[in-house]
Amino acid sequence: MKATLDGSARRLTEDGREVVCRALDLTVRARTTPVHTERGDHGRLILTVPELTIRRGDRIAVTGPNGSGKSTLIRALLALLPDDSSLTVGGSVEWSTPNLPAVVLQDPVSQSIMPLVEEEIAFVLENRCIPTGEMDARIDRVLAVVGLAGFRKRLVRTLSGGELQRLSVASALAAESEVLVLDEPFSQLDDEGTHSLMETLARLIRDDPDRTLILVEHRSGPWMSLMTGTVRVSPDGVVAHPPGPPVASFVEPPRGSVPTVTFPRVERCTVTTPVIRATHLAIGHERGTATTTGISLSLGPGEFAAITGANGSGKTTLLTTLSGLLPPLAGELTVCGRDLHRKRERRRLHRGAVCRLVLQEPSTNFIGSTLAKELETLRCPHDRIERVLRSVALPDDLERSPHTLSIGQMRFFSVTAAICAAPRVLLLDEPTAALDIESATTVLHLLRLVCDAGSTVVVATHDVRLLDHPGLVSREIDLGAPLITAGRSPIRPRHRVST
Amino acid sequence: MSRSRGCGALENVHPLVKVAVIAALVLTTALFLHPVPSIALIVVFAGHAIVCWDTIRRSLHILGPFAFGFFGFTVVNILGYGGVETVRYEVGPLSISREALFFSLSIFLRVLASVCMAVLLARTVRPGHLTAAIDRVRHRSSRLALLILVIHRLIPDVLLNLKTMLGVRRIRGVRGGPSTTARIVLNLLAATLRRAESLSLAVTSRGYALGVPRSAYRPPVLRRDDLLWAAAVLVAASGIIVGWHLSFGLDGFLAGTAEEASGIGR
Repeated sequence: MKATLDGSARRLTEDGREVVCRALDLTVRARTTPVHTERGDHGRLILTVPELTIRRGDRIAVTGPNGSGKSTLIRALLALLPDDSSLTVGGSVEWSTPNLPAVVLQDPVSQSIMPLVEEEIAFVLENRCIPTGEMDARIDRVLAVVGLAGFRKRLVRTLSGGELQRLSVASALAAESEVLVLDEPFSQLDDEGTHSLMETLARLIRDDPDRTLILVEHRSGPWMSLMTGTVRVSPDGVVAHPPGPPVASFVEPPRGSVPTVTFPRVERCTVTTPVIRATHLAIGHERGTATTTGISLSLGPGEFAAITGANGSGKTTLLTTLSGLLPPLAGELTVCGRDLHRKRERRRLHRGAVCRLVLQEPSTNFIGSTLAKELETLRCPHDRIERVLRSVALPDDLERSPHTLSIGQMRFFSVTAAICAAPRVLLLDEPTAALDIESATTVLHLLRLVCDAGSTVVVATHDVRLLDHPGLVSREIDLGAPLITAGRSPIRPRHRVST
Repeated sequence: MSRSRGCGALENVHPLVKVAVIAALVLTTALFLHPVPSIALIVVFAGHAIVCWDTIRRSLHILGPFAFGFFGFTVVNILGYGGVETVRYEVGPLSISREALFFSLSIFLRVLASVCMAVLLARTVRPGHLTAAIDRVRHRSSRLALLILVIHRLIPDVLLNLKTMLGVRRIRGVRGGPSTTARIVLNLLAATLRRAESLSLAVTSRGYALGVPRSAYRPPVLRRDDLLWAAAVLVAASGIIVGWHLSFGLDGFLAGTAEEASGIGR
């Protein structure tokens, strides 16, 4: 592929507007062996872009279903795809901007490079040769913009998923580039973070109407009002650039039928009911450094609890504690009658395999070498999951490696497989993040079914699609706002819990 | 220049000077058969660990599981030594020669000293400072600096991923065994490759390009104190080795062993 970045080159469209990026005959193929090429097999076509022109001041929304190639398109445009043994990239991309575009990639967890928050933002500034004297002011400014003021000296590894996403956005904003490329920047943000980012983008556009914005997003929402155009990636990877701004029915097309799956009645916990009971629970990763305290809740069979709260409030830590992977720091916690303060009881809970936990980071949820092996470890019937995969047109080849899936597909598979296992206790961390409307609707439908069958479900989420789904959430546990601190936090109550 | 805040004066030393001095010390332990240089480095590390326990604790926690394997390796070395037999010690049913004990412990101490120094380096050098220092030497961004950035981020991620996967296995009630371990290792490898690709992508997408000039957030400046520190450490190390040689002789232990062996022979 020929990719050029030339700030001096100026090309105008017919209406006299300056072209920022022009892609011609851009193709991405899965590479094949020489033997296959001799036989005329040039590899599976992953993405086709006949022509794409982005003009100065355009604000383009990139939409399409999970696995269609939206992130691949962004990477191909930015010449970030490896032209190696796995992919062949053809065609040409020309950028006519004086500076590199500022980019926020999809997965915030694997984007941080430096150990400290300030160093992470400074890394972008160093690469752009910003003078040392200007850096401190810029770092403070962008941290305040994304709501991370006071996080400057924090270790990046101690940030939650949402806070990492804010940091990625801060790094991109610090570059002050004319072109901003954001790949699903709202996926892990809480309401306040989403609102704040929306306001920031609106202000950037107000201050500089010539700023170009490329935003990948599945969900319709207020962000659509900022956009002037759409790029649609079809399920087979063909990129189209229809005229006009994005509309809700286009971003989230009405979905077909939901899969018909039947769950067996979940065997109730025989020791005690409720299934999960917590009284004045304190949670955290280390003794003496509780992130959240004073949690009291009681959940019976078939109940659905949603843990909400700002980024960094301890939602993932609470789920991990309920699963028995982290010991509670104080208070009482019983799951299926097991007192999780005791190591032996936690071991017994695990031996009974009554829980399923799906974590935020999709790739770490897999312990099977193939999807079929993964289902075996989950004790999930194949026919149930195959029906689900077919309903959303996902590849139902269960002999493939889970790591060949896209991030959205990985999350969909791990969440639906855990649901289809119909465990007594189901713990899901952001199950609908990065899922398109079709996949998210399927997940919500399955959650409803598994609750009806008697499973107790606890979900950590910001997604209003899940929270507002009629008749799904029976309890909401609000962990409130996080305690912003550079060092250790003492154990003290600092939030309200509504159960 | 604003130096990093942290425990111990070691964090304030110029990163390249620190790397050079520690590399020289590790090389010395590797070249000298005698365990004294290794023991000296371990003592230095222990002293630093006492002062900065919080900094070192995480590294020891990570390295802990590998210690079992290395202990086993040393035991096998002692029992399987095939050299000239000299003085033998009877420990229950086992018969251990003094040479085997000496050589195996020497290897053990050398590896331990190298690991200690690697931990010390990793815990007292910020990757940003090191890469900035390398870039300043070359006046351009370099492949070595990129490699350091990615590896520094990747190693803790790999260990965290392993911990998470083991946790997921435990929750699902899957028993450990060779096939489960193999599957987890395969997944870990795949996840690591994916993470390495993501990291390299993140570095590139943030504008890091090989051979392109960069500015520095905290530009490391070589001060006289750094050179004095390096000289003091190297003089102290040389002093220990020379002093030991003059007092006991570098091969004293083995010479004694050989004499005893010849005595037994007579």
